[in-house]
Amino acid sequence: MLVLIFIIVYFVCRAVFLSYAVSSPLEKVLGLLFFAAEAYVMFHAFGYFLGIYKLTKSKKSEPKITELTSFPPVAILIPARHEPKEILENTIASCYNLSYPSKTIYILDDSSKQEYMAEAKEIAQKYDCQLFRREVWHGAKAGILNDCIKNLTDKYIVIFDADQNPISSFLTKTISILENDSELALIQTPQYYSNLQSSNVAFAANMQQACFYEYICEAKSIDGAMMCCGTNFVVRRETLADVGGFDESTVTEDFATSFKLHLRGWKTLYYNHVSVFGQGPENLSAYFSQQNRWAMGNIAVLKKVLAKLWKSPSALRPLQWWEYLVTSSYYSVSWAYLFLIFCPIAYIIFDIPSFFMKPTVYMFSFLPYLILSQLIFYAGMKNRNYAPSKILRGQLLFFLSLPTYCKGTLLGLFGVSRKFIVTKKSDIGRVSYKQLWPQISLWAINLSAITWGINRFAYDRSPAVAVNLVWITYHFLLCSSIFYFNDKLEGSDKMALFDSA
Amino acid sequence: MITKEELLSLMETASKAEGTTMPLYTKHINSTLFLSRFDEEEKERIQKILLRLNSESTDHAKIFKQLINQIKNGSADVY
Repeated sequence: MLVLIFIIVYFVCRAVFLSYAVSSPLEKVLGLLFFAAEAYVMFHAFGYFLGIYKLTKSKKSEPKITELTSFPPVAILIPARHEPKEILENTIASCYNLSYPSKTIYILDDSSKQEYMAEAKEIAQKYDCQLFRREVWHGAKAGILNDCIKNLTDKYIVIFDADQNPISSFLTKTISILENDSELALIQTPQYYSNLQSSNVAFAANMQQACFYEYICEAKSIDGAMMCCGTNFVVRRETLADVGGFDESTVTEDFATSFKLHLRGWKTLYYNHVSVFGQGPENLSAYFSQQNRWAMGNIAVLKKVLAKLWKSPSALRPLQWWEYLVTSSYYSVSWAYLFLIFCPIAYIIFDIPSFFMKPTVYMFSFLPYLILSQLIFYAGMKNRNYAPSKILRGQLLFFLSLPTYCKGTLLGLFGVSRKFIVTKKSDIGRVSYKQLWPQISLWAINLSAITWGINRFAYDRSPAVAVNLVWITYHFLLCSSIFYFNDKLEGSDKMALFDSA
Repeated sequence: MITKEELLSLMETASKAEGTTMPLYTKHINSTLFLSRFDEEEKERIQKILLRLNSESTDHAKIFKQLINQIKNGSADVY
């Protein structure tokens, strides 16, 4: 609540200074945009802290798990496209070992290359599982899932990505929860990236994922708005049929389908027990391609959410609407961040102000919010056993992803279709810096602004120049993490406890 | 009672499970321990126990394979 008070105090101060500022029309416009960008960033920060607040206030209750006396049929679907044989085989082997008698494993092979098709067939034969291929390509992952599901009669459908390894008790627990609540459509579980020691990118991606799975998902589950994350989940087949199968109109079919399920009144649950190990993207190229897809898909869902909210506001409960709005607009916050990064540069190089506030007032109104919010964030993650130094790496990677998010949201907003690209997990190591031109450009622009700013400060020792210079230096340092991430993790072998035999 | 064919099929399944999943779960334990709350001393102790389990499982898999071969080559058809 204190964070909320600090946010309000800061915004009142900002509004007062902005309205009384003497400035040119251009500066006025920039000032208003700056104010809007800050408000948008804080809207999302507020969403996160509200989630933490709800979690601390609510009594955590575990879902009812009873020993199963009967075992309803379960179809385990594993969509795969050009997946390395070893990765796919590990997934099939771990599914094969799920301690649940009534299960059928399906490999949904979408490969177009003969070598991968032959490998999928070989694995299917080895583990006695079904191989499904479609004849007409449509709707990317959602398309092949729908094509397969329409022929199934199993009560439950489980979906794992081709690089996910569940532990043996996964089904006995999740199916038990579903059997105890007939209105429950879907259970989502978290995952660990088990390759986090193989690259800095995989490590940081795992930390970002931890922030999402530890607090955000739990809060969404309390609000009855837990969304499907596309893998490691169990869904009741009849509920999927009720909403016409997986949504094929976006690249984040999981999120869009959850929205449909909630609109139809079905319940979803987040079961926060890690029972699946996955593979994270191991270099920046693979990571950015994954993030671009998520940004595109989320913004496409935002359009659906806004349209539905406008037409039938009573279709969901207010808290569900809130969660959907926060989540689907999440990636668009990148535009606000990018604007906030460029404003100090504009001031230092072109002398165009966009932030109107006395430095002392700024210090006393903004710093309390900044310090408290960071403290709550890091303390919250520490409470779940994630050290600040680890979480910081996730934040650095988020910062580097801003240009990717901007591109993704723009493509999603205008409905520009892109071929569904499967995140590559096997590429470790450096990416050409040509590929990273947006991040490198941002780094170079900030460096130039620092040089110019130091020169300017030598002649004009005003607090405004100093504050802007501090922000540019901060952004420059964040941008410099590109060199840390675009490399292999040093000494990863030392961390390994076993040889992966 | 169980026929030789049925017994061999069950044993092959069990052998396949042990052979594939032990190394797989062992690999995942690396990151689990890395992110765990255990202190270094405890981690080391767990690591030792798991290493022993891993090696015993490898030995067990070998013995199991031998047993399968023995049954395959044996003359008994019902067990």
